[in-house]
Amino acid sequence: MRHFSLLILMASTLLSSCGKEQLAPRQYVNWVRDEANGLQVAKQLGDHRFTLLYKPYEYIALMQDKNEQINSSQMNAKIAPLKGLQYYTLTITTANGEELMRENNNAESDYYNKLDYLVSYMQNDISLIDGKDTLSCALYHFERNYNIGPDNNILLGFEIPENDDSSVSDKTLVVNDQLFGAGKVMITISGQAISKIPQLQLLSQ
Amino acid sequence: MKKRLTLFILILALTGLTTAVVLLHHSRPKLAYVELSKIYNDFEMKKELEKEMTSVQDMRKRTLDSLELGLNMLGRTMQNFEVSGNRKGVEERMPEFEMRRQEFLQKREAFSEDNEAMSQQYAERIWKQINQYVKDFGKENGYTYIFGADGTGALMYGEEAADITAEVAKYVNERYKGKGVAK
Repeated sequence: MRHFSLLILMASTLLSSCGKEQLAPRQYVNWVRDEANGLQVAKQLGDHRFTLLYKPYEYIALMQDKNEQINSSQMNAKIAPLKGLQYYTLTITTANGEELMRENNNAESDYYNKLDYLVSYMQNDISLIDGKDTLSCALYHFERNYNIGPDNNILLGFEIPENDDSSVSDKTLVVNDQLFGAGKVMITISGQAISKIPQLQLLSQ
Repeated sequence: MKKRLTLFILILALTGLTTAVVLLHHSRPKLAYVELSKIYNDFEMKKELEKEMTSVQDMRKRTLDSLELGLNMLGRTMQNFEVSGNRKGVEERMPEFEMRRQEFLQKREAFSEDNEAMSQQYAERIWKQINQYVKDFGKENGYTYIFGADGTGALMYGEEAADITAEVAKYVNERYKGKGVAK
């Protein structure tokens, strides 16, 4: 009996060291959001904090309906329409807690000009350097928060370039800022961090 | 018994000395300085914006040169008319000459103002990023103060060992290119 349990212990240690870490849905979401794991990188510039979050497909699927009881076929069905793009959220946080469009305005029209820029034109000032490729936004959505918090989210999607080798390259988001007086803002998510993303533990069918 | 007491006193003294050294080390502020002009000139963003600004200024200069050339040619034609006594020719071209002269002067003034504004805007952007990254560097590396030597007398002397310019210049460029703050 003692030998048997020792064998199980050794086997489980060996298995866990071979494959990726497996995490339950809630832990998985927390892992992705934990800055220490490198999928979320922030940069403070003056009164603005730019935070970039790399979102794996599983993370997006889990955030969509927040159901922790999910099996692999349900997950695959959720992931299928997401494939073909890589997804990010860029969060711009203001120091005074205001909506981006309300900052330092001289006239009422400033608010609408900024809103217009954020909704329609900012996507032209954003690109992603993925390895040797520079990609334009394939998906862009400015999420309005109606001044209920300091975070202003921009949801981004970029195509996935064809890669000759199997390694994951660093992803650098470039924002040619026209609103905050910061100039070019670059934030990098390292390929190493992406390759360390744990596996999601799903219910057996 | 005496031996034990001596050993005890020795250990006590040693512990006290170590504590004092550690406390002294931690209570002393960590100071360093950087040469601001070097940080500024080595900053990738500055190099990029400088290139961008030069190209815009060159384009504006070319526009002004072509306006000036047209104006000079018209002026020369009018001068020839004047020499040959063709008063009518001069009078006919005078409104066009005046209009083009005004256009040239207005453009020159507008370009000059725009160049100055652009230069100021770029400098503000560059310093905004440098200031932030130096601040982050200081926090990450436990500095109490990082002084900026800019040759204006704010910092008159610093020993070489306290010069962290190269280290900071490297850090500033890495951060600009997207590297996150160390956790």
